[in-house]
Amino acid sequence: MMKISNCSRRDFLRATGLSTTGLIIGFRAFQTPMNAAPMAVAAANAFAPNAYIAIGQTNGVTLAISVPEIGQNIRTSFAMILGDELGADIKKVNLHQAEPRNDMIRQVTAGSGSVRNCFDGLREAAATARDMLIAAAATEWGVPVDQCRAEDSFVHGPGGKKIAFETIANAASKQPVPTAPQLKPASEFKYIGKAQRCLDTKDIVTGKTKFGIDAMPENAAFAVVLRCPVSEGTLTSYDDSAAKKMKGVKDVVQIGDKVAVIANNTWVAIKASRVVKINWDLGKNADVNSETQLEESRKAVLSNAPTVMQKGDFEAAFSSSPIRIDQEFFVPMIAHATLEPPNGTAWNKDGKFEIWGSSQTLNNLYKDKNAKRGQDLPSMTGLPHDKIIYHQMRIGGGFGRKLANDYVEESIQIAKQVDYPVKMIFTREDDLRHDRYRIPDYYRYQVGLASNGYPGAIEERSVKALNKKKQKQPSKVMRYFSDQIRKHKPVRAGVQGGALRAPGHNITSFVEQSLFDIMAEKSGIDAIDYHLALHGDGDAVGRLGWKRSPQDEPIICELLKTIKEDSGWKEDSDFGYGLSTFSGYGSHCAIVALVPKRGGKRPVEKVYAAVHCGRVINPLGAKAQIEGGIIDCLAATLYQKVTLKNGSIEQSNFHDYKMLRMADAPDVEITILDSNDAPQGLGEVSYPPAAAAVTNALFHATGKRITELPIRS
Amino acid sequence: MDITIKINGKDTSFSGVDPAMPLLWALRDELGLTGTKFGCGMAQCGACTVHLNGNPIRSCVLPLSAATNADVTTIEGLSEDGSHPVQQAWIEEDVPQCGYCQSGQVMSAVALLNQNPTPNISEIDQFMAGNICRCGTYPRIRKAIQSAARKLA
Repeated sequence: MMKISNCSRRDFLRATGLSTTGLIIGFRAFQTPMNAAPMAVAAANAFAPNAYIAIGQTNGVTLAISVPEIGQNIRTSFAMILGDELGADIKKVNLHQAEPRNDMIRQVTAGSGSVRNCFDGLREAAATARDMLIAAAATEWGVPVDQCRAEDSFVHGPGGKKIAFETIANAASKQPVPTAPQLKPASEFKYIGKAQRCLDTKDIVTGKTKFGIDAMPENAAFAVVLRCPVSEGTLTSYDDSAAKKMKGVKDVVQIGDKVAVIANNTWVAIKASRVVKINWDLGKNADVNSETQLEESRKAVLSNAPTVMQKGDFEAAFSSSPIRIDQEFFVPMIAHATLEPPNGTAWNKDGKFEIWGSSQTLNNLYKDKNAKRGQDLPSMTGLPHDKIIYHQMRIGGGFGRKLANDYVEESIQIAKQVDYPVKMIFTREDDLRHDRYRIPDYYRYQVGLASNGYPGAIEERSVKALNKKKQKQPSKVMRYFSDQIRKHKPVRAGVQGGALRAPGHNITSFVEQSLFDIMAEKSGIDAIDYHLALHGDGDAVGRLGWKRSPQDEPIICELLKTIKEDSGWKEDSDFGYGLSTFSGYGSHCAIVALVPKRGGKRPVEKVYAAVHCGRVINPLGAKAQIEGGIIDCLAATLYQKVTLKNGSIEQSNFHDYKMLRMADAPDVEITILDSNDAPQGLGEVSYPPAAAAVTNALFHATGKRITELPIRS
Repeated sequence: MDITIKINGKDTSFSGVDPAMPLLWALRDELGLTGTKFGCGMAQCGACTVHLNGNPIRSCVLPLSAATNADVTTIEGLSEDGSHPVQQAWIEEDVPQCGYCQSGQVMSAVALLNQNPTPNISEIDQFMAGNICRCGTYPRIRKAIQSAARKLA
């Protein structure tokens, strides 16, 4: 649990150089010591008890949203958490997207961690402010604090007395800081657990919301960047004379091995970029081809992958197994294709830098201790934090792409060379060809089962395209088997890899859950029954005649029973039913997909999901994440693949990198199990299992087993 | 050459610009109307959808010259305060996730309901096929369009 530390106002002011009349309490940061926070924005004359909350005398409560908003609806969830603990009316709370700092719990959107890592700390920050507001009002009224409560942005006292937060804020700032503020019991929650519409929707549907790409400083120029088509290739020479002659072109500048064309508008920049003549040295990756990569991988899994792990005696157990499976899987490279392409706006003015970014990781921009070298703003700009103003904008889709801050850095590199603000955007072609891809995986499994389907022996051979010889973790499927052997071989990727929604899991879950379906099928056992037995359901274990279950996962069993009922499992003979489960990010998910046996309106008619994610903050937002994860994964499962030819990505835009469109989107019905456990992650949990739910359903609808994605290549 | 376009009810002149420049960049970079989004630049994703004389078009491929003297409505001009029934339905059905595609989705949905006040699900799917939502809000968009249709009836 995060604790509020009691750091004196004087220390904080000295550290930040701020001068206000309010009390400021240091909030002990996530793994980082409290020190200078030069970019701190604290409203003058505000009661600002920590980095999260400021209560001004004119504008009321402001909540700093620590983590980037990428559509996980964190602004609304955090407002709800604050609203309950502070006793604030969330309709009146101003939401401020926090700049990179070092005194907040977490400033990264990744690992489905926004709520689960910040819930306790944000509540404590709010409870501190609430107790100080109440203490100030109680003092003013001369009544005991236990006769006062905070609600609807007022402190209420005996006899119908009430005073607005902003009115008592200044007095509150003079109150002692509570050392251990009491958190409210769940029974007093007014917002948490109840459906709350997104607080930003009105701005979104009126076009007022500013995404990174919408940053528009006065007199901004617009840039596009020419990058070597092959990863790690270098710039030999370029001729910009034709480009510079074009009307509206302001400058052409070199940034490392790239060339940026800057113009009065984006259109001119794009047009001019087409007439820059460039010679590249394509470098060592120019011989990488997806086709040969696939062949090499296939050969490697069949023959020369070295053993990396061994437990028990696979050979003996496998050869004596009455049911034997030998199955290969291939999961291709895919791109993020965020609808807002990567972009950055920067202004190098008078020895200072002002930057507008839509980054998924402000921790890296600040230089969190886990940040990658050179990825922080001081390294990028060459300036200290107090000479940098960074505006975090709403992100038009992240999915992991915007964890790399290459686009922020490029915009800074351009702006360094000119004296006016520049907005740099990736065209869609740039985006698809210069992504941080989910790189491909190739697997081969040999599995031996007892005649009743009990999992006995497994051999996993995997090939992953990697640039570094990193040891890959065994996939989770191994833990269901007693005798196992693992062989692994890396091959050259030829591109930069990166995190894509549920990284790792989005491949291994497909493989594991396809394998379970094959195991159930070869054993003649219904998939739900088989999963129940695998995950420890006593009745199913008995029915199948197993001595015991390989795992004990009661939540998964509960989800299996729930989804069996919700989906009307195998009741409609017009459909194939496919099952898949996943645990990760603290949450658990079971999915059933229905695929029509013939014809049908959609490739997948309907999807059911049952989820356990601890306490739900906002059921509407939670269901949006689960639904979105499934549909996102369906796009990859049905259509998506990027390929390399001579080191260059072959796809260029949405005509050859197919996105899911409305007619392909199934309706999704979701059940979330009630829970009072700590809230867990939801941004990723439904993505990994969705692929196998669909391909398993397709098998049960048509008899065709999909082991290579995408389905429609 | 000067090009005059009526944008959200106001006559707007562009002088000295390339007449081949797509309307999208004029809206965004010249006028600062950033509600209309760039997504692909080749009429594949619908993020840039605006109305030209009431018809939905992809502004990323419409040359400025082709909009001369036309009446253009962008998301900013749909209503003054978000009160258009389609905008209201989007709020009530809690449609957006990241929100980036939603200006285009709303503009397409308005055009659909102008042409067909009572679309069925397949008609919605078909009409909206040009608008990509990367976050997967399609089921909610379908619901919102049906709910807006009921409101408009």
